[in-house]
Amino acid sequence: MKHISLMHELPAMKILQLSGSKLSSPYHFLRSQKVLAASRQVHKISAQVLESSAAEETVTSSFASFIHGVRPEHLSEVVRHRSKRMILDSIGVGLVGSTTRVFNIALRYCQQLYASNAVSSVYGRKGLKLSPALAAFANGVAAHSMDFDDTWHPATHPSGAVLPALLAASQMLPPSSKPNGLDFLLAFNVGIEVQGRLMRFSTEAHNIPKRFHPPSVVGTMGSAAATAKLLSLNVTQCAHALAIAASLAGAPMANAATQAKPLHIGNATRLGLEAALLAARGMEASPLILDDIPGCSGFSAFYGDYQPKLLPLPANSHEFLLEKQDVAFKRFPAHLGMHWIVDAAASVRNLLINYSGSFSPSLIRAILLRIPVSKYINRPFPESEHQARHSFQFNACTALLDGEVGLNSFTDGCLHRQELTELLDKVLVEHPEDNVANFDKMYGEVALVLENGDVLTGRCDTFYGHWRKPLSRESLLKKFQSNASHVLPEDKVNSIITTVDNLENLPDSSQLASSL
Amino acid sequence: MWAKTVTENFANVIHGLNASHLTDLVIQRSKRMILDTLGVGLLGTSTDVFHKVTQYSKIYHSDASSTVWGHSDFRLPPLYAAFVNGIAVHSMDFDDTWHPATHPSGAVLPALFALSEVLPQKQKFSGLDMLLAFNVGIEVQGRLMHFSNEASNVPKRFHPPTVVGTMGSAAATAKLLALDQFKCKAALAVAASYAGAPMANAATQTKPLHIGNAARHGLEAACLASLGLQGNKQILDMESGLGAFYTDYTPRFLPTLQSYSWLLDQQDVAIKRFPAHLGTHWVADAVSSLRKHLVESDEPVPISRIKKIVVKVPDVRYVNRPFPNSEHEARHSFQFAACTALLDGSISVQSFSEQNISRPELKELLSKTKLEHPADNKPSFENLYCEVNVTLQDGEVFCEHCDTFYGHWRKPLSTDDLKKKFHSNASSVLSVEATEGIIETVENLEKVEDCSVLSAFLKGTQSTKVLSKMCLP
Repeated sequence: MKHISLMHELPAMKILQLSGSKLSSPYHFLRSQKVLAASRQVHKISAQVLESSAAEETVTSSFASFIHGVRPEHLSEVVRHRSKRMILDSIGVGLVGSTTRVFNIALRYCQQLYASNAVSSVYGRKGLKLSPALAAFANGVAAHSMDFDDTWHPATHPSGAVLPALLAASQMLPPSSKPNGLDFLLAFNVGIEVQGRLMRFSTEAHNIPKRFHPPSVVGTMGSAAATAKLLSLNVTQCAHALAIAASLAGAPMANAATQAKPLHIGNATRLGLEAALLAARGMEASPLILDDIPGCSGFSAFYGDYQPKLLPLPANSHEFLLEKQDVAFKRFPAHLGMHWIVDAAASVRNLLINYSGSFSPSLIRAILLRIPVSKYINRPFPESEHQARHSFQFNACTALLDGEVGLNSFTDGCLHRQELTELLDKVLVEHPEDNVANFDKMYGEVALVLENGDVLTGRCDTFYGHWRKPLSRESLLKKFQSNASHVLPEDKVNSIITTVDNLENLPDSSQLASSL
Repeated sequence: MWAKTVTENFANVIHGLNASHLTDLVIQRSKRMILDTLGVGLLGTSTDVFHKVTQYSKIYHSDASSTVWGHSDFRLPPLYAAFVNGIAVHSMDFDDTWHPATHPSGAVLPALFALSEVLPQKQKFSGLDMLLAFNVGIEVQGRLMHFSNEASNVPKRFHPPTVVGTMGSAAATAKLLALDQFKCKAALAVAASYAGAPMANAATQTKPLHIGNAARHGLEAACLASLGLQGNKQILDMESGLGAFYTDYTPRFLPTLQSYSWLLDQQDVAIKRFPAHLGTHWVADAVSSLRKHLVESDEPVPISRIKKIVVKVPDVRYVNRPFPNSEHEARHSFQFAACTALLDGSISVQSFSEQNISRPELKELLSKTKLEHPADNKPSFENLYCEVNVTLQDGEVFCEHCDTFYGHWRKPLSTDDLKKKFHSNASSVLSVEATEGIIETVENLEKVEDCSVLSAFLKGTQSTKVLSKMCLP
């Protein structure tokens, strides 16, 4: 079947090369599954044996087995009949629906967005451009891929949900209306501010989350607000952008500490951008999305307790939350909670060295960690890098062994070190009542119970990088240079530093995006 | 400017803030954040997860594209074809409804069609492949809804298609792609992170996006899983997994494959006869019957003789709208349904046109209409009923009751009427030939060798070449 190019008046599209290998079709990764399936059907019996022997006792795996194992023969007459009626009806309804206004808006949006002249840059991929939403997605994923991005109080990762959308959007606008650096900075702050304000609508939001991952809830809203600001949407459109974004918000916590977690930020930033673009095209949604409507939840759907408050009106001065409450920057790529325990472990390690002349693990009988209760960061024996970044035990022991935790601590080589496993075996966890699961109040304590009975304790109330003890400019730059130099040459790295330093004077903010 | 609602207020502030509001401290702090984020992002491009998503995102650079239903003049990348076609399906609230409550098909079918068009020509999907994948998508939705009692009632918090629909789309797509068990699991896990939109956007123009997004996000989740992305392997088991969307959540195992029993076998869907919320269908049938007591079918109803209309329905806030202002609100209004059925004898696609929504006769009737919520009228599509009382000026009272409307699963549409609905819908954009072609193809779907013929019909091309591809006996 001949595939017609989307924008027929544009030249033929280039097929992209991915690090040297030629892709005949970007869908090639899907092809292989069907081929495997064909051979699987031939060897049905052996496949059935495989299925039953790989059975794990969870609901989730039973679903996966079903999806995978069910065959046409399993379809009964009634099911076939009914489902064909459904298919027919669905198609008809879809066809008539293609004449509606909402369909028209969505369609025009898609056509514009997926125009073959992709315009937005991707971190570390000079020369590659994607459509704005997808560039935002990829960059958002990058930002959260190692859990190295900033954290705020109440808890969320504010910047990764906002910045990629703005970078992408800045490249989308025509040259005559490019926002300047100050516009960009303002839009960024609108995105951060909205997130902070929304989190203050519930007490639940103040603690380390249990149900929905905050960036996927407030981050999406922040991205929509920021993009709406950058695109100068009118008041009504701003409201609709928020409401449309709410229908795109909300991912459960269970995917934290898995490879899918970075998608939470990627999606927050991309879907917020999309919400704003849809609103710009006239899409309408609930005008009461943030208000409390009994019996029909709006944004309140994501919280157990919800008390929305009006934002103070901007007259001459609006007090941004960032003024009173700074973010924490991470010193190493792991969950924020790890930073307390690592500083505590490093200090008790020093105590041990002073005590006995060197760090000798054999002197240690037990390692007591005093930490707040939070299931998703309590992992005695993490198996993957993602789990390791979310493990008090892993980070404490790594800091004991090496004196610090860094990028390399999460490589395969370091994850499974013998010495580390030996230390992990000695760990016991305690949850003191006064150690609350809250980034403003928690502390970390590491006690080494030695073979001879002596106990050495290290404690950290405020780690270096926390908002109470912010990173110095030097430390922040060092972190940036170390990170950026993985993919950019030195002169580019330094020019980004200069650009951001002088952001409010930049005449064309899309330069920031194109320098990536 | 004084805002009456929090939402309006937020919009005002977003709009009204300007650069002069930024303080030095805020500027300084936010620049530090921007710098740090850029660095972290650049570093992150060396990760595996980043590699996977960029590989995936490059799809949007290719020629590969899928049909937009009813449009032969252009195509869209599969994700966006799934998105817009899903929106089309739910755009008028005309699509099927199940029990427990959701709109199952619109979340699944567009994703499957879109995907089926981009795999290389050599790998065609038979009608049976499509039928199986479709049913997997429906089944998974039904099973997930049985994990909570809350799901059996008309929803209040999250719009069900956005929760289970996304999961169903992921499952169906995973099936069509023949992913292995591990990847099926991953597809479900990743999909969960896309699920969930609040009810407040029902009765607005954004509601159709709930189905469009469910379709495209499920498809995306399966594609990412296919590339090796993993999520939480116990996503369905955990309260902090899919349980996050429910207040009561008890996951259960599926029946064994040795003798699989499908939910669709035991529980059919309802097919709508007019494009409005399912609850209004009870109202329409009750009122149509009642109207016959008042006048002959072709006579107009004497509005001035009517004193009061009482509609007894369950307490469902988002369908309680005494004076709807838009087509979206009108489709979610018990009152509008009652008055339209009383005026016209029945409700149809045309009932929701601008003209009809703002008819003075309708407004007059609406002002005489009241809802009541009897305690025994439960907000569940399995149990609800509608009773209508019309009181005339002279005191005479007419009353009718509807337990089961025509189209409900207890009283399904006949094959003829189902086809008639399809004809009427499809012929608004397709030729007679294509319309007939789809009916015939779907009727014999399990025998179709290459279901790409359906996409060809959907596009709106008319050609005998397409018909001959159907390979029917």
